[in-house]
Formats: sequence, C-alpha cells, structure tokens
Amino acid sequence: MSSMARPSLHLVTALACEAKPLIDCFGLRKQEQTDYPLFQGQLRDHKVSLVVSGLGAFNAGAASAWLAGRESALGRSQSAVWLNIGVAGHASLAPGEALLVHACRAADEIRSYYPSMVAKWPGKTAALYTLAMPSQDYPADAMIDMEASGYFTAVSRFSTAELIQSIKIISDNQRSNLEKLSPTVISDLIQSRITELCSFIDNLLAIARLPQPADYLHLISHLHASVSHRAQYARLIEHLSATGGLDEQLQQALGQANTIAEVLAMLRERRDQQVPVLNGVD
Amino acid sequence: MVDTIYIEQQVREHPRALAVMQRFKHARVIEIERYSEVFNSHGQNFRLQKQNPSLILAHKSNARLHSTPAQYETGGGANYYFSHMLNCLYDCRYCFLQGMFQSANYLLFVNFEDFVADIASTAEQHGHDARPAWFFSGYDCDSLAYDPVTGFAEHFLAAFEQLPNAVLELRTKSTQIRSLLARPATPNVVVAYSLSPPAVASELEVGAPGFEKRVDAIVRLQQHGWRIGLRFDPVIWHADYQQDYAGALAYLFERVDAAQIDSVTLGGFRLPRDYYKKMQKLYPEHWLFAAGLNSEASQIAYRQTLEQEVLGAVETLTRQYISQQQLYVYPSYEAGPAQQQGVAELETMR
Repeated sequence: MSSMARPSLHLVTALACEAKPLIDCFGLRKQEQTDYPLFQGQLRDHKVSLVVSGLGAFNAGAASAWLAGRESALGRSQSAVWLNIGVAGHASLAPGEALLVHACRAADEIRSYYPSMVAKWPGKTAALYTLAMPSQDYPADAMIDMEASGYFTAVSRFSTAELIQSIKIISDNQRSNLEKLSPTVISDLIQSRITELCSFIDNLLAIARLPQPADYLHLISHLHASVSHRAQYARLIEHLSATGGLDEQLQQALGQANTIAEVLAMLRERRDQQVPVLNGVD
Repeated sequence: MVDTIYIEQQVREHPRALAVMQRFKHARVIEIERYSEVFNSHGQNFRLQKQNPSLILAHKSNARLHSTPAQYETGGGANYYFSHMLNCLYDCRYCFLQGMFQSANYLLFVNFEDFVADIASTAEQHGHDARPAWFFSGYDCDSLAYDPVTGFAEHFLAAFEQLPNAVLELRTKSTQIRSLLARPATPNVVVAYSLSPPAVASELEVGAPGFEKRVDAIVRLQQHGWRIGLRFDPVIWHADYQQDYAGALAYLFERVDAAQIDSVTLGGFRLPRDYYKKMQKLYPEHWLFAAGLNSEASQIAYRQTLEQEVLGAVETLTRQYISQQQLYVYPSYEAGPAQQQGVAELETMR
C-alpha cells in the first residue's frame, strides 16, 4: 500500500551562534568529518539535520545543496521541510522581532522568490533583500540579510515551495550599533523566539506528509526484469494498491511466478477485475 | 478564510480589489508585479497548497474569451468560455484543475468590466446569427462559490440583461444563490449545476455542498424562474453506480420540473494525459486514478467498453425523466483526437 512519508527537517543557519539554540532545543549531535558543520538528531519521527553554511548567499546555497545531495544519496530527500533561520536588519522593527519571509530578492536581481504561505504563522511577515555586504542602509519596508536568496535559489531545486521557508529575527535597525552584535547576543535573540520557531516547524511538518508510491519490488527480486518491465510492474502495483486489489493471495502468487511476463499478466487480470467501492477503499 | 492576499500593483486601487481586501481585513497583503510570479512559479505542490490557498488579485490583460471546442454543442450557436477566476474553493478529486495549474491559490481577475466589454463586442459580431452566442463561465473555477466575495453574478447578470442575443451559462456546485434570488430571473442566463449521486459527491467532491443541498438550490432557482442545466459530468463508475445514479435521478426529478430543464449532459471521466499524470502523482493512493482507466491512450478515460456501458446505463436512467432533445452525452471515444482533448479540458470535472 502507499504510505505517508515522515518528512525530514533541514535547518540552515549562517552562523554557529544562530545554530546553537536550535542544536540545544532538538538535542542535535555534531557529525564527524563533513564538508560543512552538520548536526543531526530526531524530532519525534522526523530526522533533523542542521547545516551551518557560513556568511553570504553563495555559502548558504552551496551548503543547502550539499545537504540536499547528501540526504538524497541516503534516500531521505522526499518532501523534506527546509527552514532557514537567522538574523536580519530592518529600518524600524525592534531587535528580537521574528518575521516569516514572504518575498526574497537578491539586491542585484530583478525577480523575487515568493515562498508559498501554506503553513500557519501567526506573527508578522516581511519582504527580504539579500545583500552582498553588511549594511546599515535599510530599505523602508523590508528586512536585509546576506544569505536567504542563495538558500531559496538552491533549495527550490530539491523540495516544494510550500516547504521551503525562512524566518528572520531582527538583530539591528537604524538606531542600533552593529558592532555590539556579538555571538552571544545573536544566540540570545534566536533563543528568545525558540517557542515560535518550534511551533512553526510543527506546522510545516504537519502539512508536509505526502503519500509515497507503493513498493513491492521485493516480490519480483527473483525474476529477470528489464527497466520497461519494472516500470509496467510499478504502475500496475500502484493501481492495484489504490483499488485494494493487492491482497495476500495475489502477493503469494506473484512470489511464485517464474517469469516477469507471468507476473504482469496476473496483475493486469486482477486490475481488470477490480471494481471501485465507495466509502471504504479511499 | 484567506490569510494571505497577493495583489498586483496595478490593481491596488481597483474598487473591486479594495472591496475584496476590505472583506479580509486580517489577511496579510503582499504586493507583486505580475500574478504569474506567484501563480505560475515552478516547484509548487497543488495538494499541499490546497490545505491553505492564498488569494491573488490581478488584472487580466488579454485572452479573456476563448472559443469552446467544436463538439461542445449544448448552446447550439457560437460558443465561448471565460474565466474571471482560476481555481476553486472545492477540492473535487476528479477536477482537471489539479493537473492544469501549478498552484492551488485562487486567482481572481478584478477587471470584470474588460471581460464584459469583450463579451459585448463578441456578441455583437454574432448579431445576425440564427441562434444566440453562448458564453460559459465556471470551467476554471466555480461560477458562484466565491460570489459573496467577488460580486461576480451581480456584475455579469446586469451586463447580460443588455445583451439579448447572448446567453450566459453559469456552471456551479454552489448554493450561494442569494444574488440570483434577489433579482428577477434573466431569460438569457442558464444556471448549470454539476451533480453526482450523494455517495460519489461525499467521497470525491471535497468541500462542495452535498447533493441534496444542491437540489434544494436548484428547486429554489427554478421556482424563481431561472433556467436550469444539469451536468452529470463526469459520471463515475463504481460498484453500485447504477443504483446510485438511479436514486439520485429519482430524488432530483421528484423535486424539479423536468420539462423546464434547459439541458442535461452526461460525460465520462476523461483527462488529457499530462493532467492525469500530474493528478496521479498528487494522489497515488486514490482509486479514481486507477479503476477502469485505459492509461495507455493519449487521453485517459475509462476503457471504451466500460465507458459505453456506464454512459449507456446512466443515459437510459436519465431518459426516464428527460426528452432526447434535452439530453447531451459526451463519450470520450467518438470524437477525433483534437476534439477529445478540447472536450476533456472543458468537460471533465465539475
């Protein structure tokens, strides 16, 4: 039968001090000998990975892509939730405010990226400009950071828009002094919003469950089957799985078949016999 | 309840956009340059987005009116369709919109006046035709479901009162009929209800009013003088389909005046292959995308013999109440491939 995947959670921060409250919150453990600092653990049934990218959009994109590739190779990439968490500047908002990013644009680009706003976020949202250098030249109605555009650009290749989000905690504004922004201060800012962050992560994980195709390849592992045969087999299994026609008797018969042609014929015969019954099959 | 509204800069001051935003005072408003930035962007998942769709307010600058495929003959004369909105409040599992659009967000074009101007000039071109030109609404959205927000019916009904050689068909599953009951029936408007037997509706037409509620709405509209169309399209094959369709038809025609029904259409479950593939990927676990389908063909439909059997049976049941002149049946296998594709785009679905 089809199963609902337990989506993985992928967190991306630029700095170790941004990561620290999250590492503590989820009890993540540092992985040895990785290209980027990587911390992993579990949140209930969900695998959690946190990568520290370093400053800048290029690093954010590269680290995110690296994590996506690594998880994909381990077969854990489907319907992954991605969340970039970090600090940002804003002209007037007070330090400590948490905002979900609703549009993101690199300073030298024309097009914006619009994260899909499906998961519930009760707080404020704002647009975000990603700059190449630190700046205190704040735009009127948007936040500024140095990573998010690279993160969105890279991650949108690996997951679906509804599950790729970024939350920024305001760290500086026109009245504050950037030089006072120490790692401890940044960790404290993130820590002060950990409840809202965890709640949003729960909401993201709740919407992210997608059905995975049925997998019954083990039933024909003893048979020689071409790529085309396997594709036909997978399609028929999917159909029968959906219509409730893949009972134990049929599975046993498939396991005893001598050729893939025999298997496909059995599946087609059963498919053509299946009549959908309302209220019970779905 | 919509919690996010995207609005194109150019419609920011449009009275209809302002009225919609007034209705959703607590929604976050995000300004965009073009709706396509949000609606057409890649990497969206219709199924996930359907859990909490946003509303996009935009201007439709061109291609507001389309000719219908040749086979679509319910109107009898020149036939056009238009969509003031893309996507639907309901979540019908068989609906082709899931396969057609990247996004499940509701896209509302607020410049109704431009749609009406196009309709008026097209109707004028057909001023000397023997039959009026028909204009169909409700293929890329439900015509009435969002009416309390959009004011669509009020605007377009008033416009069609001034277009005697044009007919408007409103395709809907909605019971939002207050605006229709608040005014005298317009003789050149047909309210066409999409119907399925209760068991099918409750399982496949997620979020839509139940069968009995739709019948109640039909009865009230008919009593008010509105012309009514009935659409069993798609007819869904399942174990008790004959019994279910017989029961639904009996219930329906006990309540409505069959002689006054404008037309009844029946159609098989059919989809362009690309749409089917997307929909099957969204719902791999759903029987609808597996049971009885000829998935090898360029257009996905029930196997030909099965479709003939199902449509034939429901046609026979329907003929107990409706004359041959009132009944239109749209099988998937009789038309040529081009027509099949067009009809599938228009007809499979709601």
